[in-house]
Amino acid sequence: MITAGIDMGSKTVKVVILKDDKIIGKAITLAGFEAREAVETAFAAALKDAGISKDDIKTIVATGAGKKNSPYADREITEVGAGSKGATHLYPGARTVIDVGAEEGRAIRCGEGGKVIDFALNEKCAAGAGAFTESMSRALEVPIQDLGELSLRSTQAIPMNAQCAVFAESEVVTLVHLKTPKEDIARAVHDAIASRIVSLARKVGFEPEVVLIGGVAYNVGFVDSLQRALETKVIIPENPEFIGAFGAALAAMED
Amino acid sequence: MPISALTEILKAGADDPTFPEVTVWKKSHPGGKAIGCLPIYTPAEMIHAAGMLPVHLSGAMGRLKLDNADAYLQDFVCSVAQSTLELYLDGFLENIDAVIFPSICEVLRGVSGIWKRIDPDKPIIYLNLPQNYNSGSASNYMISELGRLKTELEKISGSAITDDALFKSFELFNKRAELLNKLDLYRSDYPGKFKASEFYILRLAGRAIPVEEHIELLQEALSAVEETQPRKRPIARIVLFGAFCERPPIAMIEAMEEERIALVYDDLFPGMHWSKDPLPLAGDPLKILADHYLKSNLHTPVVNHPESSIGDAIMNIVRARNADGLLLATAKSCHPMLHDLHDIFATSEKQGIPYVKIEFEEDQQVFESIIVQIEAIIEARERMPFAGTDRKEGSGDQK
Repeated sequence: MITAGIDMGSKTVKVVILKDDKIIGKAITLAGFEAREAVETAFAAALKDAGISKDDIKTIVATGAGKKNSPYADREITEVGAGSKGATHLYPGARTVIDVGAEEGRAIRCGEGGKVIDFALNEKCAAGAGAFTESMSRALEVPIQDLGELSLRSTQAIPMNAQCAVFAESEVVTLVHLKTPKEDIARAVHDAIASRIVSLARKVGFEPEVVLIGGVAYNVGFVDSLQRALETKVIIPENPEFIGAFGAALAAMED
Repeated sequence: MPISALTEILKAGADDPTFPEVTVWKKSHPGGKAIGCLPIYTPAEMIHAAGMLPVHLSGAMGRLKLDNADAYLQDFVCSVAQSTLELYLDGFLENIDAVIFPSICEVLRGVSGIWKRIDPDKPIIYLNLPQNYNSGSASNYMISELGRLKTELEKISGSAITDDALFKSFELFNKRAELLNKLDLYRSDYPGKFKASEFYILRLAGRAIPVEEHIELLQEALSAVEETQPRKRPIARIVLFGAFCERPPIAMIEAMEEERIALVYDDLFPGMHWSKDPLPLAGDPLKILADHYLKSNLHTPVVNHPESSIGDAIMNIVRARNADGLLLATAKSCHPMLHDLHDIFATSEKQGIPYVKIEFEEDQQVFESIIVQIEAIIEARERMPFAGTDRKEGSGDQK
């Protein structure tokens, strides 16, 4: 059976095509202003990658912030459900799934078979999501892809007290003026995001195994901060940004 | 007329900050006085018996920008306190001749002081309600407070409030409570025919009209509900609890229902149906009102029932309404509610009742995060169905 999952995230659109439970095609594109067009573009690219046509797909399930506006979708599934399903399919022993995307972070406690037991979302606070690292990398004049490696070279922890991304940026500017090394500021940024995420994880009562999904999982500095704050190792799947779409495609197989 | 058409007409004026209902009433009652009632409980029967119009004041439901109240209150004060003060400062309450502040929290106590300082000539009455229902002195204390309120209201109206007038008012308020109870049960039994958002609008529509008119409206609504064809059957039955001093936007309730959840119980307007029992029509009216208040089985974080926890009370409602779960909607910065959350969470987990806790503000426009949380709990339910959803067979709702 061939199914597809569309993850209409706030920054990027991801599409995964499954044959049975194996990925045969995938694609990612920026969501931009015209998210529906972005889905069409990503979907066409995923079909090409899989070497099939849309008619070959039995069911399509959408997830993500824009899921209700997704073209092609037969139905929707929440980001919580999709993340849990995708992560626990790959790691059946996972009991906590942490999903950090561009605009939102969430922690999900899972039971046997990926059943969602509890979850918490990082509401109204960009300081717990990827967009925060992007604005901080701009403030530090460091390319976003280098921010993680930079923070690993830090030699001291600097507390960042701001409760929101806007005030945190002011704190970063102050630290820059104080000639604080960039690597220490980068670590402070990652520690601040990790702190938000860990409070979500504690809210749901996290327990190992912990799987980290979402695009921010590529940021090695954040992963380091998160592991220190959680005092446990986290598992990062291959292509962590596609796990939501993968979970949606798995959900489509159940129809 | 189907209920949706009736409530759609009412909806436009349900949160009008200009209170046009008061203007209309004053035109037809020259010299009549309107009395503002802050949440959550005021004996509106007494105001009615004095020939005055009780007006439920509970913020501006997001219809005002808080440009002036900001100067008086801190950012961490709840929206209902800020926006009710804003209504006053912006001149929307000029038609209100006096205001009653019941003792429900420190924030509203503070607002009552600010209110008084802004215009010392505008009467305000601070009504001290007993906090501990089981105290031996609660009844006498409440009777004395009601006596003081009666004297104050008589001064404002310029005439005595007789026992006869009180009992006539009791009869009318009993009638309204009976209709509200019927509608409350109807939305629980037939959620596909009558939605919580429609029930909410019907209650909002009664915030500033005479009880006689509200009764007529509720009777019309009841007929309309009975004539309404069933809509798509909801997929989950949820109890909504929020200790709602602060009124959430109607759109928030509608957004929840768009996800096909039925809100089979809510405490959106606690002061309007304080007790399920009618007021007796003979005896000492002040004692009757005191008992009515003290014997209410309504649990809210601003009163204390030492014999039962608020968590147990809510779980009893969840079971009585055959609900699949609990939706706790806490108003941002509502401290009394925060005190009770732990008990509610703990009881809910102990009794295996699924719950979602969301936070709202009256001026909230986007409900995406709230909806995702509701959707997620429904998805979890679909994997392991709760007992309640399909028990209500024969409800007439379409599947």
